[in-house]
Amino acid sequence: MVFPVFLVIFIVFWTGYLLFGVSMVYHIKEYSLPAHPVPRIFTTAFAALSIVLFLLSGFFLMGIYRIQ
Amino acid sequence: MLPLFENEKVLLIVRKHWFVMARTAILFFVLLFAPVIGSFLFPYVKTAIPEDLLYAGTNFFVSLYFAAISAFLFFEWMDYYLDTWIITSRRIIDIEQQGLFSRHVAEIPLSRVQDITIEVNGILETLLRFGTIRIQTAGERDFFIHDVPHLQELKNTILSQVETRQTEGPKEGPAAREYPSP
Repeated sequence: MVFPVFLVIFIVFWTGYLLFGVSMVYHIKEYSLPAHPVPRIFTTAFAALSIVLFLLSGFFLMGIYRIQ
Repeated sequence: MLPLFENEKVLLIVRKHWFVMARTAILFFVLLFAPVIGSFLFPYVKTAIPEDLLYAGTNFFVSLYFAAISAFLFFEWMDYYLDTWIITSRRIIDIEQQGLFSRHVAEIPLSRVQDITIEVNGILETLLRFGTIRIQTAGERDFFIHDVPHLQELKNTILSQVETRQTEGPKEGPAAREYPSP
């Protein structure tokens, strides 16, 4: 009963998140100064954390699916 | 990417003081622990929602919440990183990133710089050695650079470059360097 609601929230949130994240990375790549590359650690850490949280929220979503 | 004129050299690249980013980091850590405070409300909502769904739903929303605040931190860092002042051998370029898809780039030729004022207000700016530089120009408006470190060095660099241009005409400067936060 509640699973479709959580599924919609999951899809809407992560779609928006992906667009937002890609936009930020685009800005950093596009507007960084010549001969002064962006420290990769920040973008890598953000991408890694996003993937972990995406998988984690997907795992909890499956938990809600099993409950109903 | 920033287009430069022929024979134009980047002398300095200045970003805001690290304290500006530290304020955001403090807010991030406060938001990080907000769910712990929220968990104290659990005994009061248990009756309204089945317990197993409550825990599963909470875990789900907390993971989305952590993703949102990590995106917030990265966004603030991007804004901090792309807010830059570039002092070249010909001009001062003020690049202000205003969130996503909004960016202001203003520049003044060194030949129009008339006076430079340093302003340090408050205990934090005094202790951490950052402040505002106001550049008075021959044009209509003054130019402000807020929350910058190394005020005196920055002022001296601009003034010496202005004097060089006035006395000797355009000249190539040293290689570009970037001021780290103190």
